Amino acid sequence: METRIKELRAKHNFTQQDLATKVNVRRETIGFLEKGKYNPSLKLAYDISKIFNLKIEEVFIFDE
Amino acid sequence: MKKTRTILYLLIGLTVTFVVGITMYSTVAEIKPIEYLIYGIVGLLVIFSILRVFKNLKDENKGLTTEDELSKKIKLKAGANAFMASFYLWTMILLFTMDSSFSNEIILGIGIFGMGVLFVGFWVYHNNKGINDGNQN
Repeated sequence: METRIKELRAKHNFTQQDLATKVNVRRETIGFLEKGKYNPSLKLAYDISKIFNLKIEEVFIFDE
Repeated sequence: MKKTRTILYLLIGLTVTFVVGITMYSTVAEIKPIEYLIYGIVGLLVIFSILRVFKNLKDENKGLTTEDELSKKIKLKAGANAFMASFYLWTMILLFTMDSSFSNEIILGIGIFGMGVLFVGFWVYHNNKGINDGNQN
C-alpha cells in the first residue's frame, strides 16, 4: 500500500507533528505511514482523509 | 490523570529496582563476572525505561499523544514474539541447567529476566521497523 500523505502534507504546509496532533496519534506513526511501514486502522485512514478533504482511496493507494 | 499515572509507574519501577538491587547485593556474598553482566543488562533496561518515561512526560507536557494504535500494536506484537521466543529460552535454560548446581530460584530468575529482555528487544525492533502485517498474504 502506498500513501500520498507526504505530498498532501507538503501541499497543506503541515509538519508530521501538526498532522499527528490533528488525528490524535504520535508523530512516529505518521512517519511510518509515509514510509509505507504501517497499515492504519480504518478509523485513522478516515480521519487523515478527512483532514485533507479527500476520500480514503485518494490518500491510500492499494495495489490491485 | 495520564501524567499522574506515568509518574506513578516511574516511582513503582524505581522502588522495585532499588529494593531488588539492595536485596541482590546483600544476599550475594561474592559477585561473579556473570552477575556483573546481569547487573549491567538490568541497569541498561532501567536507564532505557527511565528515558522512555521522561520522553513521555515531556510529550504529555506539550499536550502530545504518547500512546496510539501503532504503539499498542507494537506492544502486543512484541509481547507475542517474546512469548514464542520464551519457549526456546526455557528449553535452553532447562538443557543448560539440568546438571548444574543452580537453585530453582536462580533458574526461575534467569528465565523471567530473559523474558523481559526478549520483550524489550522485540519492542525496540518493532518500534524501529514498524508493523506491516497488512501487506503480507
